[in-house]
Amino acid sequence: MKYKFVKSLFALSIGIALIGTGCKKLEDFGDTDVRSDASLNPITSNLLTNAQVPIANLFASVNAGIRGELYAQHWSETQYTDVSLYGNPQLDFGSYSTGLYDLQTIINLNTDVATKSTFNVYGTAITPLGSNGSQIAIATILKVYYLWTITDRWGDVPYSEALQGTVNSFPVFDKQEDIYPRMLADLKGAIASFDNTGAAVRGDIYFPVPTAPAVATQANVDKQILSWTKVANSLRMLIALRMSKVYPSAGGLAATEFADAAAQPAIETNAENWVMMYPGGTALQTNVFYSALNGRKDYAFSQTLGDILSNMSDPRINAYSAPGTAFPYGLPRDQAVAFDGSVSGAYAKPFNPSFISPTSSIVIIPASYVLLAKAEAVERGWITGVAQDYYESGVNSSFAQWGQGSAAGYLAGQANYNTGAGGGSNIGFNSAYPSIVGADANTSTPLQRIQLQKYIATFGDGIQAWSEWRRTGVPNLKPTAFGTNSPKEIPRRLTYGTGEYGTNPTEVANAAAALTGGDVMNARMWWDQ
Amino acid sequence: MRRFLSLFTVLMLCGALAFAQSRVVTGKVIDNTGKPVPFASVTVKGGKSGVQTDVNGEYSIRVNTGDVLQISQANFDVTDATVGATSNLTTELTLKTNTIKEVIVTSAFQTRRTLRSQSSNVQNVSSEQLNTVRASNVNNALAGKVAGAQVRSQSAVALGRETVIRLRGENGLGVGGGPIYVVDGTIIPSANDINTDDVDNITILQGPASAALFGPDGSNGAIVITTKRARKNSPGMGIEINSGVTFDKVYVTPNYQNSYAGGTSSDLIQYTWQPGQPDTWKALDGKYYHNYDDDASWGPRMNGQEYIPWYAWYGGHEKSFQTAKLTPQANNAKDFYNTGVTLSNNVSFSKATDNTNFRIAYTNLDVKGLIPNSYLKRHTLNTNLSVDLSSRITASASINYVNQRRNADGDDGYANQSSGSFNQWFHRDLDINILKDLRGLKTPEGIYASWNISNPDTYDAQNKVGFYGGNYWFNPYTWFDLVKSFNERNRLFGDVSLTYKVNNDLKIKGTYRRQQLTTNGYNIYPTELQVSGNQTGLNPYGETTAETQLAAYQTGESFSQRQYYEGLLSYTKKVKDFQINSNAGFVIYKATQRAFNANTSGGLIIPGVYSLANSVNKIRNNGTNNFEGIINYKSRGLFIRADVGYKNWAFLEGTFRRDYASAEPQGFHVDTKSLGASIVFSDLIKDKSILSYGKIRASYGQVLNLLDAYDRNVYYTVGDVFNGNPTMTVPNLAPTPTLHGSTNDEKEAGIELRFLKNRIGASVTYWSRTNKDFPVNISFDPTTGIPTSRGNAGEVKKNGVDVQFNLQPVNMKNLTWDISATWAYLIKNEVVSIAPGLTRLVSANGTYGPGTTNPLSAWTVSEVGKPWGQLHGTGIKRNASGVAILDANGLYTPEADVNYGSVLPSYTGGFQNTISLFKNFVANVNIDYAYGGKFFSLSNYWGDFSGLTARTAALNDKGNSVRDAVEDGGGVHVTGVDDADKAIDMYVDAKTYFDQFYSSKISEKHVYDLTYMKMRELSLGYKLPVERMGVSKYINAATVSVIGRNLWLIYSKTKDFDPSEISGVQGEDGQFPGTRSIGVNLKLNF
Repeated sequence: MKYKFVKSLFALSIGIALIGTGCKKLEDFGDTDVRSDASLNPITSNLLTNAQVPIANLFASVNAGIRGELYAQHWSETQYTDVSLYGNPQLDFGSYSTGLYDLQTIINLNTDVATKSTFNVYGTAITPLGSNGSQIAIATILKVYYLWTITDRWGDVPYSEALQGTVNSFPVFDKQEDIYPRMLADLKGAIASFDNTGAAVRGDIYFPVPTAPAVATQANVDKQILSWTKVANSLRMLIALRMSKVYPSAGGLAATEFADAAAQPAIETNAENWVMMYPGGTALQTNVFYSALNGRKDYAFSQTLGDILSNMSDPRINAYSAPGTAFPYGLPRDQAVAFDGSVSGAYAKPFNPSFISPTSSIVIIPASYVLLAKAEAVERGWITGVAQDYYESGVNSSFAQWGQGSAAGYLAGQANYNTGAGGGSNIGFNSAYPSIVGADANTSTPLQRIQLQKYIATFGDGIQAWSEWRRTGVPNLKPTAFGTNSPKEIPRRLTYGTGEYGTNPTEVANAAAALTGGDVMNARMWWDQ
Repeated sequence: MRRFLSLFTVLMLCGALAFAQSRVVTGKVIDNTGKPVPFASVTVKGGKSGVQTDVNGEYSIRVNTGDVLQISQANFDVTDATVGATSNLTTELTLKTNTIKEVIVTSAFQTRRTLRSQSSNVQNVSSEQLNTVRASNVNNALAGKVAGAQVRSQSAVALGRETVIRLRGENGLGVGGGPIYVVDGTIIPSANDINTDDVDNITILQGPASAALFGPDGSNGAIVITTKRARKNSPGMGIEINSGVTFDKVYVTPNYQNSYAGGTSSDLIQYTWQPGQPDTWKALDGKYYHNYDDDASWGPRMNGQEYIPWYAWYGGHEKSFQTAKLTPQANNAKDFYNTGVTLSNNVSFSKATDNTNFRIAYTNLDVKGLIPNSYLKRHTLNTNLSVDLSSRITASASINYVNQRRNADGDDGYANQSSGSFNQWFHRDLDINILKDLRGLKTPEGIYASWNISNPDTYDAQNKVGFYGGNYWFNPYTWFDLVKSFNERNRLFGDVSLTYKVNNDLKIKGTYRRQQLTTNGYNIYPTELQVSGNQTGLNPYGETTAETQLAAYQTGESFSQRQYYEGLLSYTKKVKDFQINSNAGFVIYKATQRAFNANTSGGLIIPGVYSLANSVNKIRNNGTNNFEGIINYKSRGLFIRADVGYKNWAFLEGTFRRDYASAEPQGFHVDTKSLGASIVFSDLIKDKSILSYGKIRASYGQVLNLLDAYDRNVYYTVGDVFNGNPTMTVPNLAPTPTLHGSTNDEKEAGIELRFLKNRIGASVTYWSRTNKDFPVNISFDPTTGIPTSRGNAGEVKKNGVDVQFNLQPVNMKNLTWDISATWAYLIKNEVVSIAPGLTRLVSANGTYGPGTTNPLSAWTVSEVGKPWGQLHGTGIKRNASGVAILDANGLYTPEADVNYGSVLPSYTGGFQNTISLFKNFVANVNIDYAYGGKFFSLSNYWGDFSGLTARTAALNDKGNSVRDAVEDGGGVHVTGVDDADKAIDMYVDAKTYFDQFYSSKISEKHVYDLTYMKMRELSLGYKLPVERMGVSKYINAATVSVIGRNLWLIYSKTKDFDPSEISGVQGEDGQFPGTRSIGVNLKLNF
C-alpha cells in the first residue's frame, strides 16, 4: 500500500519535472555542454608556430641554456649562486608536453587518413596550410632538435615510446646509445618526406613563406624546403660529431653518418643560419634574453671566458659582454654580493646590449658550428677536405655573426690553426678569491684549437656550450672551490625530476640504475664516457 | 516554466474545490522561544478526532467555532486553546522541568525532522553556541564545536579570505572539495557571504549517509543554515540591535634575532666621498654603513655604534645626511601592522502574527585591516516573509543581499610585501617608525626611497634609480599606499515559494530559487613604483621577468547565476502507532557564468593612466581566472525520501535520488541513496532517574558525483600571435573517454546516552567511508605529451570516531556551568589506489614545490598504502640508527624524497564552557585543539637563510654566538657520523650552516607539527537589569559583553606560527601573522 503510494508520488513528480523542462526528455540538454569560446579542432599551422617559439626560449631558460652557460663558465651568477655552486639539478624535462607534443600532433594529423586532407590540416586550394609531406618533415626536424637538447642534458630519456598521449602512459626510457642513431634516421626520413610538388608550409616563423600570394610560388616552396634541408643536414653533422668519444674511428657510425650529411647542402654561411627573428612588441615576440635579463642583476659575463678572450685579443668579448669587469666564477652568495657592490655595479653583464634588445635575433644553428664541425671531422679523418680552411671560415663566420669584422689578424695570432697558443693558463683566477683555481685554455693541437673555437662560438647557446665542453674537455675548466655537490666536480648531466619519479617510477629507476653511481649529476652519460 | 505554473494552479484549485465545504483551522504550536513543537497531538476536547503537528509544528484540523483544542507533547505541559473567529491559531507550550526539547534539524529542500529520528550523527549548532563571540566568518565560529570538523582558519590580516572546513578528513585524491553551504535551502558557494548574525541554527550533515537528499552536491557533506524568523508572542516591538567593536593586534610572529644588522658583510663598510657623488654626501665622508643592497640580515653586530642609515642618503627630510646609532628593532615587523578595527552593527525588525511572519535585518561590517590602507566593508540585508493567504495556502519569500567592497591585495605567499619581507628578506635594524614617517619620501626625479638601496659606490648620476631605487624591495608603506587592489561583490539570493495544503497529510510546495553573484574589481601597480625599482618585480601579470617590472592595470567582472525550480510533495500520516513522513519531488537546475578579466601588458603607454586602452601590448590575462569565461550547465534531479517512526522510539528512513546533467553523456544518470534505522531504547525503560536518554542508530549512504561542465572534451583556445601567425596549443589535459563522477560510500553507527536528568551525556559515532573513482587530473609522465589526464582514479578509505560530550558539573540556583565537548579521531584516511602503474600523485605544492624552477620546499602527495597528504621533501640522510650523516665540513648529506608524515591531524576537537552566575553574568570559554599532522614553513626556511630568525644568532653550548668565528668559540655545534659511521662532533660557521639548506634543498629542518591547543573564544556577558534600572518600558533586554578571539595559543610546538591558521595544505609560503582580538559588544532588544 505504502509502496504504491510512494510510487505514484514519484511518478507525479517525474510528470511535473517533465512539464517543467518543456516536455523534453529528462536527460536531453541539447548543446549546453559545448563551449562557445574554444574550438574542438586544432589547426596545424597554428600548432607549428606554437612549437617553434619555445625552441629559442630554451636559450634563455634558467634550467636549459642559462644553466649550460653557467656550467660552461661563460656566465657567472651574481647574487643567488646555487647553480654555479652545483646545487642538485633535479629538474623536469619540460619540452615534451609543450613544443614536442604540438609537433607530434602535426605529424599525426598529417598521417591519419581521416584528418590529413581536412581544412584544419591541409587548408583549402585557395589558402593551403602546407603539403602533408613537408609539414611532417619540418615537424620531425624540430622534434629531433628538441629531443637532442633533452638527451644531452639528462642522458637516457623516452624517445621511441614518448609522445603517444594517453595510449602509452609509461614510456620506456631509451638508451642514449639508441637515441642517437634514431635521431639521425629521423632526420634523413624528414628530408625524404619534403614534397616540392605540394603547398608551402604556413605558420613557419623560421623560414617563412610570403603571405602574398596566398598560394606560394614554386620558388618559395623550393626555398623553404632547401632551408630546412640545410638545417636537417647540419643537425646530422652536429649530432654525429657528439658521438666522437664513443665512435672515434674513421669507419665508425659517427664518421659514416657525418660524411653522408657533409655531402649534402648545409648551413655554411650566416645567410643560411637557422635564426629566431623577434619582431618585438608582445612578450611572445620579444627576445627571450631581453625578457629574462633586463632589469635583473642575476648574471654576469664570466671571468673565465673573459680571460680566454682577452688573452687571445678576441674582439668577440665586446659582443659577449657589456662594458665592465668580468665576474669571478663560482662565488658563494656573500662573496658574490660583496663583489657586485665593490666593483661599483660595473661588473659586466652577459651580451653587449645591442645583441639583446627586444628585437635582437637568436641564432639557433649558425654556420660557424657546421664549419668548425667539418674542420674537426677532417682532422679526425672522417671526411676529406682542408681542415684549416673550414676552421678559418668557421672563425670568420662567428666574427661576422657577432659583428666583429675580419678575423684575419686573430687567425694569424693566438688562434692560428697551426701555432695558436689558445687562451692561456690559470684563467678565471682572481687574487681576491685565492680559492678559485684557474682553468687552462692553452691549445697544443689543431683539434684543440678547433674545439676551443667551438667553445667560444657557442656563447649564448648554453646547452651546446656545456655539451661541447663535456665532449672535448676544452678548455680545461676547473670546478668552483665552493661546490655544494660531492665530488665537487662540474656536473656532467642533470638529474631526473621529481615528476618522473612520481609518474614513471619503474622506467626512471631503470635509467638511474644504468648510470654509474646512480641518478647523480656527476654520473657520465653514454657519449660522455 | 509557464506550463509548470499553470499545472500548479490547477492542482491547487482541485484541492480547494474538494475541501471547500469544511471549516478548517490551521495552527502552529511553538515553545516559549518561538520554536515549533513537532509531533504534538491536537485533539478537540470531547471529540474523537485528533491530528498531530508536523515537524514545523503545524497542523490543520476541522472544527467549529468555540471548540477547545487540547495540545499535548511529552516534554511540555498540556495546554488548551479555544477556536475563535480566525482560521489561524498559534499556541505556546511550556517546557516541563528537567526535560530537553526536541532539536529540529534541516536537510535539503528545507525539509525538517527531529534529531531524535535521525539515523546518522547529525549535529546542530544553535545561534547562541555559534555566536558566543560574534564572528564574521561562519567556519571560524564552528571551530571545536562540531565533532569531525577540522576548521583551517586563516589569519585575520587576510581580509575576506575563505577558510576551509574539512568534514571527516580530506575528500579526494588531491585537495578535495569541501561541504556545501546551504542557507534556507539555497546553496551559497562562499561561506563568507553567510552573515552569522542572521543564523538561527546550523545543521551539519557529514556526508552521504545524512546528506543524500542533496544528491551529488551533498557528497562531501552539507552545512545547512536556517536564518532567523520572527517569534510570535515575543515581548516588545521586535527590534533588536547588536553592536560590537573588536580590535586586532598581531600576536604570533616568527622569533627574530635582534643582534645583527642587515646586509651580508659582517663588518661595517667605510664610505669615502668620490667626485661625481652629490656634494651633500660629503657630510657622510668617512662614516660607516652596512651593505643595503642585500636584503638579508647577516650584517654587523648591533652595538649602538654610529652608522649611516638608508635614509641618510636621501635629501629633503630632517634626518638627511646624518648618521644614527645601529640598534636592534625587535618589534619592527609587529609594529608595521595597524591595530585592526572591526565594527559590526546589526539591526533587525521582526513581527509574527497568526498568519504572517516577517523579519528584516541589516548588518554592517566595517573592517579596517591590519595592513595599511586595507579595508573591508560589507552590507548584508536578510529578509524573510511568509503569509498564510488562507488556511491552505502559504506564500513566502526570502531575499538576501550582500554587498562587499574590499581593498586589500591579500597576497601572503612567498616574498609578499609584508610578512613575506619581514620573515624572509629584511633587515633587523630597520626602524619601522622611520619607514612609516618617510613613506612618501622621493628624490627630485620621483624615485621613492627604499631601505633596500644599492651601496653608495654604485652611485651614477646618469642612472640615479640604480642607487636610490629599491633593489628588491620598496618601503612597505609606500607599496601599500600606492598599490591598489579593489574588489566588489554583490550577491543576491533567496527564494519565493507557494505551499498548498491539500489536507492535513499532504502538502505541495513549489519553489523558485536564485543565487547570483556579480563581482568587479581592479588592481593598479603604479608607474611611480615602476620608476622606483631595480630588480624588484612589481606586477604579478608579467609573462617575463622584464614585464613584471612594469606598471600594470588589471580589471575584471564576473557574473554567475544559479537557478532552481523545485517541486516538493510532503506527506505525513499517523497510522495507529506508526508515524510516516515522506517527501517526493524534483529539482531543475540551471547555472550560467560569464567572466571577463584582463590586464595591460608590456607597461603603460601614458604613465599613470590606468585603463586597458593604455596597454603597450595587446591586453591579456595571466591570472587564475579566464580571460573570458562562459560556462553553461544544467541538471535535473528527482527524489523521494521517507521515514517511518514507531511510537516515536523506533525509526526507519530511506532516500533515493536520481540526477541527470548536461556534462554527462545523454541518457546517463547518477543515483544517490541512503538507508538508516534508529531506536531510542530509553523510551522502553520506565525509570528515567539514571538513564535519561539512550539511542542507537546505524545508517548507510552512497553518492555518485556528476562531472563539471566541459569536462569531457578537449578544447583548443586562441593563443598569442607571433609575427602574424596565430598560435594554438594541444591542451596538456585530456579526458579519458569513460570519464564519470566519483562514488562516495559511507556507513556509520552510533550510540547516544544521557544520564542523571540529562546532566551528563555522550554521543559516539563510528563511521567509515570509501571514496573512489575520483574524476581527477592525474599527472602522467609529461614525456607522453599529455602530462595530465582527466580520468577516474583512486580509492580513499577513511574511518573514524566522532564523539560529542556534555556535562553540567554545577547546577545551582545562581550558578550553572555547562561543558560541551567534541573529539574526533581520524583512524584512517588511506589512499588505497591511484591508477594502474601509479603509486603517487602530488596533491599540494607551495611556491617552491616540484615542477617549479627551484624545487626546494616540501610538498604533499597521495601515495598508495599511506594516509592522504604525505608531506615529502629532501631530508637529511641518516644512518640505520637515525643519526645524521655529515660531510667533512660538518654539513648534512641530503637525502631525496624523505617522508615527513601526513598533514592531517589525527585528533581534532574542542570544549565549550558556559558559566552563568545570578542569571545575569554569563561567561563562555571555548577551546579547540588538533593533534598530529605536519606543515612546512617557507618563511622559516628563508628566514634562516637570510639570518632573520633567532636561531641564526643563538648562543651555542659554549655560550658564544653561533655567528662568532669557529676559532673564537662560535659556530653551530653539529654532531653526527660520517659515511663510514665514524662520529663527527664539530662547530660549523653559522652562515655556512644555515646556507646549506638552500644549496642542498633540505626542507626537513623546517617541517613542524600542526598540534595545537588554543583558547579561541572568550566572552564575558552581563545582562543589564533593565527593570531595576527603570528602562524596561523602552528596553526589553540589554546585554553587554567583553569578547576575545584567539586570546591564547595555549600549546603549539612551534611558537612561530599559529598551527590552526596555516595558509596552505602543505604548509605556509610566507603567511600573515596570527592575531589576537579583543572587543565589546552590546545587544539591545526593544
